[in-house]
Amino acid sequence: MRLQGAWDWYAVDTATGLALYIPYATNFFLKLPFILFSFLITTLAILSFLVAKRGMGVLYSAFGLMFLVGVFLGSGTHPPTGFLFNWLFRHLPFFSLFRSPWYIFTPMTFLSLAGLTCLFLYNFKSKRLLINFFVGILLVGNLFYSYPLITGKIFRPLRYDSFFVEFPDYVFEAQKFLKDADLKGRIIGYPDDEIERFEWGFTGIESILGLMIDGQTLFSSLNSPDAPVSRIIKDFYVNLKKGELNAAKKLAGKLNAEIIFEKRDQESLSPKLPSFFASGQSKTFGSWVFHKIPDDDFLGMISSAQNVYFGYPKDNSAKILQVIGKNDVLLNPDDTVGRKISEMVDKAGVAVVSQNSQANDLYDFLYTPSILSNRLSLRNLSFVEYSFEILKDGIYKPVLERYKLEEFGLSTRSVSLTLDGEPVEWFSEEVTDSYIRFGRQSFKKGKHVVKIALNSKDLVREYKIEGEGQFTEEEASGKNYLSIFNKSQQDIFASFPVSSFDPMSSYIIQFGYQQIYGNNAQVLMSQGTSQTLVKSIIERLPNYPEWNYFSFYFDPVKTQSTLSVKLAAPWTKDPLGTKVRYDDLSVHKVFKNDLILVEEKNVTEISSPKVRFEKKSPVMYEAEVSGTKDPHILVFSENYSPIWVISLQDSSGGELQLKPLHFSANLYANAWYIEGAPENYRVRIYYKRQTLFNIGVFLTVVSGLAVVALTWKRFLKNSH
Amino acid sequence: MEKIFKKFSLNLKDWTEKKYFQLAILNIFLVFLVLLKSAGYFYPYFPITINSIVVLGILASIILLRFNSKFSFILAIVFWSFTALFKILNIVPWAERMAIYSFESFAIGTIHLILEVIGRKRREVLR
Repeated sequence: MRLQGAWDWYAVDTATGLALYIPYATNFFLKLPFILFSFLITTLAILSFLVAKRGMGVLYSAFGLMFLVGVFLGSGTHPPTGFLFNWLFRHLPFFSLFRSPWYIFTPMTFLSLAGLTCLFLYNFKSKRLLINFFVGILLVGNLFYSYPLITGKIFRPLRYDSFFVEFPDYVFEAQKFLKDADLKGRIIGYPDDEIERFEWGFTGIESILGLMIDGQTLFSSLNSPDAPVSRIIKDFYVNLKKGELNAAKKLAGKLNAEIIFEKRDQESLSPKLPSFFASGQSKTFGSWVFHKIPDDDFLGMISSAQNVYFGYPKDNSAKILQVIGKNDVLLNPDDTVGRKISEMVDKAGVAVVSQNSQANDLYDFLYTPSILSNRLSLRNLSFVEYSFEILKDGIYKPVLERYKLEEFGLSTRSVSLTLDGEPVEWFSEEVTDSYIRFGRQSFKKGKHVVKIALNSKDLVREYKIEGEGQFTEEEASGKNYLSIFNKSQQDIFASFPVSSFDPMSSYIIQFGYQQIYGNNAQVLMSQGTSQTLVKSIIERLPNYPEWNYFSFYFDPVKTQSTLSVKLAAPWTKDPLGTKVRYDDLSVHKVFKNDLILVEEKNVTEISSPKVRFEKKSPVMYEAEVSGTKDPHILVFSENYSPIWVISLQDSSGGELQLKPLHFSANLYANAWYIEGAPENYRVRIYYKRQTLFNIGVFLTVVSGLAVVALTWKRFLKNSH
Repeated sequence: MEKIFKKFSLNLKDWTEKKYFQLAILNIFLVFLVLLKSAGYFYPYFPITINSIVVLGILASIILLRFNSKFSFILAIVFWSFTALFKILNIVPWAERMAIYSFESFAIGTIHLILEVIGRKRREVLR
């Protein structure tokens, strides 16, 4: 009611209590003149009803109703009417369109307040001097009250997030290039930060390209990070950072990404783009570089499928996209429409992502609240177990992630392992920078466990002393341990640098300790660059006078940096100081590599006709399909929605009376199963709801013209 | 001053005597609502809160005591004044509560005014 509902006024830094976005908001909340003035207009508006004269009831009713509706809609789900708004949001069609109701509907509130204030003053029209004085006060008061608008403070000058941003020239050069370019696919940005913060001041939560071109862009999603397409994009970035370029290319193909947009002027912790992409066709504009992704896996927005796989487990099936072929399609096993098509189900294969025991333990540790029970033990890193369930007997090809296998004592030629306890050896058939594809293996229906012996290197050796104290290597009870004694007024450490630190890996730290006296022992993990500390965690060890073993995981920030493990003897007020003994410190990489089993089918592939498409508009695509033999699948790489509709015409333009079944594919895209189509035909894919928008535009234009015509007619009538 | 107060007392007395039965009903209604609230009746389907008692109290007084729409707007301005007072004193929860009551009184007043305008128009047509 006081027109102070903008959410960014209330965003406050909890540590300092200062406003995060609107520094002057505190004046409006706390300073008496501002508080009093904020009540004034609403008070006059309500008072106007008390001094209303007869015969003006309709005006009062209209403005009153406008005020009510404005406050109701503007306050959204907040009290007192939030319950009703919430109900309408869930049940009234199109009501959810109003994503930010405060900004949309508040004009109704202030228009009604303006009207009611005028009506209030109108009641005193005989006292002209009084009215002039009052209007003067309101005008001058408003100028003072809205001083951020008058002085320009609303644009946050001098702040890091100021709205005064001067775009460098290369931005406009890049815009011209992109507008002229004949883009077939999408542009994916890199680095992958969810918030783009450029050195020259611009900050945004979506790709900056959205301001410049109409083309489709892909970027890390801040608003829906768990959407299927966001998960594939995340996997793409992980592949890039790990140097798994083959897998990255496959994902780029599934995402229909044609270009990587490298932003060298973006403030980011992400590592540099691998030189693989930089060596291809690139176009540079200042700090912006557009790299063409090799088109080995690029298919375009509309394509036909060759092989079909159901991915298991459903929630973890995105990884399968990295190992299946260019024309292969991944289907959701729970898709009721897809499951209805018995012929497709018969021809479909199965791909299974297995559970990695080391990765499972790591994620259990990271995503459960800090508890001692998962720390007071040593972990066996000498093997990894992959468990998976095969749903039907068949021949499968195991595919193991390639990432730094050699560091775990494994060879890319063959791997010795046990399958359900029986020793076997898998020989590789294909080795890329991303995956090793092994030869055919026969699996029976049921649960299986693959166990692989690992031999990873301990990554810590020498230590550096940090602080003043006694660091002695002692021997007692058959143990050779490091004793740290601290009588100083600050914490002291034995700092072990982690050799060959790889931020894309996760680490396990294990050691024994004995607290003799003083403060609790602590272990500090410190990841940093030469300029700044990137991540630091402290494990405070329980007070325990016997030798005790402790282990924990560390998942680093994915940036080029160094890591060290610091064994501490913290300072204490006690004049006797702190004495702690440490022994058997080891730091190992966690073996997180995926193992995927892809069924090799002995049935014929699905017919895969040729597709040539044309983008008519963002909501309409047309394609020519030729060489059709059997039932086949068309994939349309736009986010799945039942509102995308397909219509088929024969080569002479006649409508085909076919109703292809519509289902989801590749986790996010649309697919249609087309049966009974002629050898050559045309397809039109259209976003049906666009018709409603077009009707809306038509009605708006017609209404506007009607108002102008009526006003003109009345004007002519009055002038006669 | 004494004269004004005396006149006001007499007027109030007259009005009270005229509306004695309605006032009794209104009081019983409000007491009944408070009792239902303390016993937790209708929870969780329709929780009787102080807020709903205020709204129902305003509605009941309009119906029973035949107040016109100005009564609701007077209440709205009273609650709005208290909002300002609590805001200045930085008692935010109370300020928010008063603002809600003020908005509710305003809403009732506006709907009442619309009904009055419609009634008046209808009477004019009939005349």
